[in-house]
Amino acid sequence: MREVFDQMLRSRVRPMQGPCAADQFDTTAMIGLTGQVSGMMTLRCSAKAAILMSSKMLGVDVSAAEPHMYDALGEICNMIAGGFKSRLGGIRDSTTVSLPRVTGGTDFAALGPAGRIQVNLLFEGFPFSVSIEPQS
Amino acid sequence: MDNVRVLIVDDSSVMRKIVERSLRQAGINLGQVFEAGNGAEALALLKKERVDLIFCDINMPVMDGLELLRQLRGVENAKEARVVMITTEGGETHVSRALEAGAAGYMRKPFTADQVKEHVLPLLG
Repeated sequence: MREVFDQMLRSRVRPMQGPCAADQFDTTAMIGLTGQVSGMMTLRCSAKAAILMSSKMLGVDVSAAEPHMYDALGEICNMIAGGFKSRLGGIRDSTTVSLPRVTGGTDFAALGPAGRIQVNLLFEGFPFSVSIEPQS
Repeated sequence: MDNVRVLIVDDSSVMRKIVERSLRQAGINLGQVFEAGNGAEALALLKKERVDLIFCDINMPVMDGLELLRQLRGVENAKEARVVMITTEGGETHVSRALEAGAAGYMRKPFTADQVKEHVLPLLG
């Protein structure tokens, strides 16, 4: 994950101490994993954070970056999922990653089996979370 | 090689812009830059335009990068083009499938402009 932010956004992320208040996240990118490892990877952040991520990726002002925020967030989630998959060793080739989807808003619940693994991080002072909910 | 005509194929317009920027930062003298959101769009474009270099993602809707590679064999305007896959898929199976299908190079996302330079300059002679 650090590699994604270092190389594509030229930005450092660091672990966030303490819990994240999920209601501050109104932008969610999701990618499905199927195969020997299956589940859902989710990246959640505020719209402001997503716009800044887009700005950093494109190297443009935030006003110019805003129209691309969902695309940028989807690509970041895609690269994080790709990095996760690359660390699966011998079973990575039997695991497929879906195309990313990005949702705006907070009035939804993503339901799935228990056992989510979540990391809370800070990007330029903005909290965001990356989680994976394995089904197998 | 000057005025390189490049086609960038990725369903993410953000990624297409980043690839173009990385090519320029790598010192590659770009002539015309074409963009396509998937393999089918790329094939339609190649019916009209000749290119020297194709950057192509693998996971795309409608037609993915590996299928595009297979179909490029029959495309006159891509006959001399070097194809570089640029994708999050870094597994050996994907790499070998891409190279067997005719890709000249393979890069994993995320990437830096230096990595683009390292992979692409040798292909342009």
